[in-house]
Amino acid sequence: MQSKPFFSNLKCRECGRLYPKQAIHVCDFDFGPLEAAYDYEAIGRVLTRQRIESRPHTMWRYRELLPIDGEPTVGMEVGFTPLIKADRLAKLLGIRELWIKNDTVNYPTLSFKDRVVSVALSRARELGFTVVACASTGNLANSVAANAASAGLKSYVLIPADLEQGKVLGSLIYGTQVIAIQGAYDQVNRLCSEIAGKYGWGFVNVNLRPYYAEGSKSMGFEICEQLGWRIPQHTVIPMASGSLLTKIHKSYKEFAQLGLVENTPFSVHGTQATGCAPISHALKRGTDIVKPVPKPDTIVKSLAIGTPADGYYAIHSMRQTGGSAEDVSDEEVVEGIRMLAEYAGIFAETAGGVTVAGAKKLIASGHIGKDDSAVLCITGHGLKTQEAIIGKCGAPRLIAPNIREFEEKVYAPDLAAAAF
Amino acid sequence: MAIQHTRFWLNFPPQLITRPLLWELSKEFAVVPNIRQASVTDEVGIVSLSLEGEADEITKAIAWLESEGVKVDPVEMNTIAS
Repeated sequence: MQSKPFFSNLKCRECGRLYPKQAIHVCDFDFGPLEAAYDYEAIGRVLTRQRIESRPHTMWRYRELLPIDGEPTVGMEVGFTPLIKADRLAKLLGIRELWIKNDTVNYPTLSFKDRVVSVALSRARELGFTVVACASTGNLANSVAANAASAGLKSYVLIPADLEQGKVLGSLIYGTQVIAIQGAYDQVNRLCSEIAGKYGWGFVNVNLRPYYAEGSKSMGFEICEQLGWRIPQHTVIPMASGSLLTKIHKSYKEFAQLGLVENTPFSVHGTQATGCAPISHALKRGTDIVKPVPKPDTIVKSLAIGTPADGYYAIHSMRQTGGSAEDVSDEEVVEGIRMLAEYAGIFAETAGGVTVAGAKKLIASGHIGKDDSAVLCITGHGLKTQEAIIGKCGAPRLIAPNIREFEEKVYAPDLAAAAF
Repeated sequence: MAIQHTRFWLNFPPQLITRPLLWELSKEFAVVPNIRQASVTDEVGIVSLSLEGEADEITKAIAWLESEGVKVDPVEMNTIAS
């Protein structure tokens, strides 16, 4: 590849100090998070729309803007998921134009986590790691297990001991080492931090976090390209740690800076479940101090992070872009999942319900204009959180095996209903 | 035992903001607290703290802070993702 890497350094988001591109994630000076920095001038000389369009339809078509030195080696097929124009859902939500960025069909594990994991593991290989790991209760664990298996890396997945069997299965199947840790959430959390720092493993969301997090930008790059090389007016994004929102914001700024899209005004909006909405509540209160939620209480487990590491930065992204935040009840989440399924044909996990229901509220309140255009980021497949909607989306109509019963119980009532 | 450096974020609830808890901590346990960043409002106190000491002593110091009502997270905040 290029003689001088486009990815130049790690940089503290607080004080701007530069660090070498190693497996480190926190500034020694102020404990601020480190993130990838690039040589945009060098990138600007080589990266054009034509060059991107000539490449395979994966997230790696933007590889100059992802934090690896050489060619990617893990997750080569990840990304470039469909961007769907959802006219029926737009009408239902009361907006002129609506698009769905559909990461429910991301490869290989049906969530946006495949984007971040493919970057983290590609970088892990460059740094010489042979063992990779994560602590996760769901999508991240599945993705690390699958991508590590495919790449021939040994992997460990740490989980709280009380995690449901169904979620454990989605990792075990790939032959990963699943370690269940007994104890309260905070104790498990601290142990994972200690393990990450002690054994020389590539811990994707801890010591590889600066690389891992950048993978989310590919979702924003794809949105711009798939819209015909423009930044959407509004983007609605679910928030757990807040990282995805900040990275989509960064992706739009990078594309504009490089002249790949026109620098048009845009807003990024964040959504959370009311049972764990520390970022949304802080933004609504007009502060950037995120108060922890000690005991999250929501069916949206994938967003239930009480102390969101990127909350502060997500608030600033929303403020800088004129965006807003909204939170929705569990009932609204289920309604959101159903609306997306019934009006756009997409079955999303609970986080998708948060995005759709949140967007509905943001449109109704005028934070997103009815005459505007919006993209909703849908991050994971509904088969992963079926328990949230069992019994809440109807039941089959039972009939005996004869045509008379079909006509009496199905055809005639449906015909009568259609007449109204 | 070997000396360790461990990094945390502490969240102080409003009722503890005025109490000199880190001074008490250094009196009570054989650890060296080093504040690297802090933010205090009416609603919450947030401190990034490095603790230096033996592993057992650090564990005891954290347990004490938690028993007093301080939320103690590792510097990454959340290592457990969804």
